[in-house]
Amino acid sequence: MKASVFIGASLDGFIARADGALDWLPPGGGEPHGYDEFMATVDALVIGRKTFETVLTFDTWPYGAKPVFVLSSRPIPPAPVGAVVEWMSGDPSEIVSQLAARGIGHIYVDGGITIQRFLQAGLIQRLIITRVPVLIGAGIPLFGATHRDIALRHVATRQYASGLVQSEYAIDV
Amino acid sequence: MRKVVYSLTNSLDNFIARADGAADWILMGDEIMNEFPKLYASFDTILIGRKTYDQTLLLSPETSQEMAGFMGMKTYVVSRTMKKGSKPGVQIISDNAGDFVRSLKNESGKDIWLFGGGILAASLLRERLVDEIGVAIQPILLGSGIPLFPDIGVQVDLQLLECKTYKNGVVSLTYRVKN
Repeated sequence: MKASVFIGASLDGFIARADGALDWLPPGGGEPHGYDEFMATVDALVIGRKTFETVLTFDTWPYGAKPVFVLSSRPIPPAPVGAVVEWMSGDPSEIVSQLAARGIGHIYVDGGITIQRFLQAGLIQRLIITRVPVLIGAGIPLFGATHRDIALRHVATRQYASGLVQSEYAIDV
Repeated sequence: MRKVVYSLTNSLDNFIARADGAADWILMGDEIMNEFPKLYASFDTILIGRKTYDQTLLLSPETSQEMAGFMGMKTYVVSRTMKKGSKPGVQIISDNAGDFVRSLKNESGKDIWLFGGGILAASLLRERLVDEIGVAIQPILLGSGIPLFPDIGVQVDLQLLECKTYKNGVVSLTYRVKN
């Protein structure tokens, strides 16, 4: 099974302000930068509890009928009507083998802590990071401590008119 | 007015060195090295924090004589502890780095290379004294080390000026700071 990350970050490496606010992102997520195309390749999302709770505050459920697995050690709040949400717990390798056994081929791993746990476990194969031209000064970091270097293979970098820069990296095992 | 340019190379997780200052993870290559003369030619002054200064000297002892004056550039080290005149070719700024940089920017000359460290860069960003930021992002996650942007605390809006990709996977981005 393949696991990918597709996320926006400030130049100083934050994915949200400390309170989860995303007001520094360009309005409406900015110009199209491949999100829909990426989502079309994904079978399911794996997100953490905090990301789930943030998404619940949005006006509309952003994932349509795509299965969303929420990782949490305790039960999660109810999902909106029409959303396909399942609560799971366990370490990243257990999650990956459970999902693979269910025939899922490509997961989209999202949310700061969840991304960090999967990276640390060596279970992410692709990182697509879109840099927003701003330093927000403080917030929730995209990356965390690792016990070792993680070498990346640069695949491509794309530049958008509004100043977004998207870099794609592969992590070869 | 002369620009202050914070230009360094960093890991994808925004470290400029390992915790001990090591730079063994940095990829260079001819393609990047060939751009150095043009980069160097745009500066005649280096502004550097004391810790980064010491670490830079430690990393290249064979060139420390040359580095002491950073390739002939006028070198200012921001330090509360270094004694004035203790290093030949180096001037010490012991307090009010912001005021000093403000007046330095009004002098005539080429641009000023803010060489780090992150703490000095953060304080000058907070004082709105940095004009450009250049990051050369190395294709690696280090997981720990000396941060590129520690605790800036304020929002700084940027405008992308240039985006360049090298064959070895380094991505070089240049931003104008909207002060």
